[in-house]
Amino acid sequence: MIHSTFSKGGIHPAACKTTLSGIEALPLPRRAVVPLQQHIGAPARPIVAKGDSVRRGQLIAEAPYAMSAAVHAPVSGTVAALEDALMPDGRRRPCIVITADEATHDADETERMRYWLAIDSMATPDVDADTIKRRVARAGIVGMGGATFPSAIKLAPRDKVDLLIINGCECEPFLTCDDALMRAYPAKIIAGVQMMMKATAIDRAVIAIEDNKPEAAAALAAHAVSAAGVEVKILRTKYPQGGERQLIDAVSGRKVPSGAIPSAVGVIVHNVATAFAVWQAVSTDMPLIERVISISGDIPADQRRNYRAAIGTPFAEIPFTLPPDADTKIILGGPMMGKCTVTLDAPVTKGTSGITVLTDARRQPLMPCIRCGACVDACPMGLEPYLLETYGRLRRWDDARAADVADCIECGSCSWSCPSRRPLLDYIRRAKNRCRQR
Amino acid sequence: MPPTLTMDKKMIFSPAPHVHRRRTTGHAMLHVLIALVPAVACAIFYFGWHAAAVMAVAVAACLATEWLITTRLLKQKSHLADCSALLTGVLLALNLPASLPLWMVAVGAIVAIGIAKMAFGGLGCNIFNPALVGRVFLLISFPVAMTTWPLPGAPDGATGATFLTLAKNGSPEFAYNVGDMLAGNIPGSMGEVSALALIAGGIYLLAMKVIRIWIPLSIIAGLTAVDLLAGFPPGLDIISGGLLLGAIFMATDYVTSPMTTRAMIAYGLAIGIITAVIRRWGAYPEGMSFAILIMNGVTPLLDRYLRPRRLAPKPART
Repeated sequence: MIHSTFSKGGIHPAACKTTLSGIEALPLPRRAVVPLQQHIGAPARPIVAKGDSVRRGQLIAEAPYAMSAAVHAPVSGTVAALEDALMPDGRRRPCIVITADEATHDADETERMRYWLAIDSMATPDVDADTIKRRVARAGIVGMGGATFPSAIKLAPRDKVDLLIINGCECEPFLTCDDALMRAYPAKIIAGVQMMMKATAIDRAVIAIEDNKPEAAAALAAHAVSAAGVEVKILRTKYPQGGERQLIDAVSGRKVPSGAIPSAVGVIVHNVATAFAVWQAVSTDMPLIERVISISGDIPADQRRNYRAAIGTPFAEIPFTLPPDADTKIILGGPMMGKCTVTLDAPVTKGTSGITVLTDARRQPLMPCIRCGACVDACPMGLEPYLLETYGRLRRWDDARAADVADCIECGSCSWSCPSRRPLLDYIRRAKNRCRQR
Repeated sequence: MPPTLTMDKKMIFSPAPHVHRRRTTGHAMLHVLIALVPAVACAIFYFGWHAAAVMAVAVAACLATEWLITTRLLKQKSHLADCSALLTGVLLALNLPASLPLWMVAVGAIVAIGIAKMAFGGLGCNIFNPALVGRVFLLISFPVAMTTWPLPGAPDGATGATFLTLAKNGSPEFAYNVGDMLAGNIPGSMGEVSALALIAGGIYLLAMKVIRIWIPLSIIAGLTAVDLLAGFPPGLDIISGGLLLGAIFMATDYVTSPMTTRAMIAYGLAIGIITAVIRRWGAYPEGMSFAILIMNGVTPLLDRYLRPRRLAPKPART
């Protein structure tokens, strides 16, 4: 059977999804570094001071505006500092540092283990739309696919919406965190989707999954049977199937206009992990203090795993060994859109989908453009990357704008497909940023 | 022990994406060379050692010209490894009669690389297909030598008229049988005679996703349309002359052809129509080279006006 897909471009990078199945608990950190800004919007405002003792799940920074997200303590302990700590990009950003002592650490781990052992039997309460929205906002939930847009805002759309799309595509190579979550908690994800439908008064939800994840699709489909208005739709495995505009196109055929958001065409898109977090928040009053991360890439096969990690866990506490004597890249997220980290001291945040270690990822020497058109074929937005690259390189910002550089979703398909190894996206990003500033 | 990021590890940082498909520009050129193997084999099979000599001189002169210009004139590193000069040499040879004096072959190669390619800025910058510029330069400079076609397998130097010349002069129908035209047992330029060898190469290029079908298909469509209007048998027209060689290997040259599907179709249709018009009503019996070169010149305009359709529609102005 040929599954549907988005209508323009797309590429087929090697999937490399070789993590072991299942989700394991990563030990809670003794020292958690919790950034105040793990989302798009304003940073959260701390409501604790140095020396305060906090317990796991307690609100430690509140959202000052709607366009922000609350932050909770991922471990019990003492607030050791409110300081600027190192982020993956090498900059320092305001964080709350919590240190756990032996007793609180053990108590936390016990409580955490009990929670996850009991989760299958936990009931889903019947609550009204306002309660759902309030609890989602209170739990500090943000889009967990990587965009980290505050979820509560998306659950209160201003436009009239009639379709909820749940993104379970996970089209990035290497990453398997959403796959693992869908296989482990299909019933809870469906329940979370129903809560999102209730909150937004949408009566139709489509959970979209690429056809390379048949177990996850089957698990969700089995539970979707009894959920009114929820269906599972299998899409072709093609990057960037999980791109918001591509996904909406693939599922509904609707085209989100340039510069508009999905609700302009009556659609809201949420990630499967977000749906699960919504269920946790509404049903168990659990704030977003843990998430599933994939560790994968050029590391020993038995170290490629999915972990349930506390927000604030330094990357250095994740067990994986870097390849010796090799040029190594440590990427946050997948290899298509992930960013390199310059330090392993930076913490896991709400938007961290995983770590991909790559060797031999050094850029190859570039050659002249031979106008082969591979980038034009690959662009899922129907742009002309070769032209935008030239405009970016020559600083012709007005021409870049006229050629719709603002539509670029930075998926990297153009750079991936270029046989002359031209860094197309580097220049396109530059033009895009410049056009946005002016 | 948790790992730590230490400075003795060679860490790399760069913006996304961090992975890349395997194919390089050199690979693409190699695929085209592989696709040309049947045509080259046919050329040597039908026209013997002199075909091999023309091929060798064309390739050697192309490589030498490119090497001299890049390393001596421009003081750059040699980039012969990208195989593009090699490919130009092979394509030029396939566009020549096997009996062409070797010094003329060398002149054609020097014009192809020196003028059509390097003078415009080298790989990726040329407007016109280098091999075709070389061929047309020779055709205009040495019209007799360039239109003297040896008979396949005739060691005594016997020559014959091509199907298209016969067609121009009046009686095309039974001059050559279709089997010989498909196999290549007819007079013509080295690489154009065997339709089957060219089609095999074309299928390989399509299967390896080196070219897309739009340009060859629309060239054939454009030619057929004119033939039907002019009352000429279109099937014979497709497998005669340089049409298949041009449609599969010359017009699809990345550098000189358009990049969007819509522009490719317009480009192909125009090449087919111009070729048929020259063949039926022009001064030359064959017009494929001219048609491709004319449309090479139009390619930038096609790319400019036949843009890909955006996924995101423009928001309605309020």
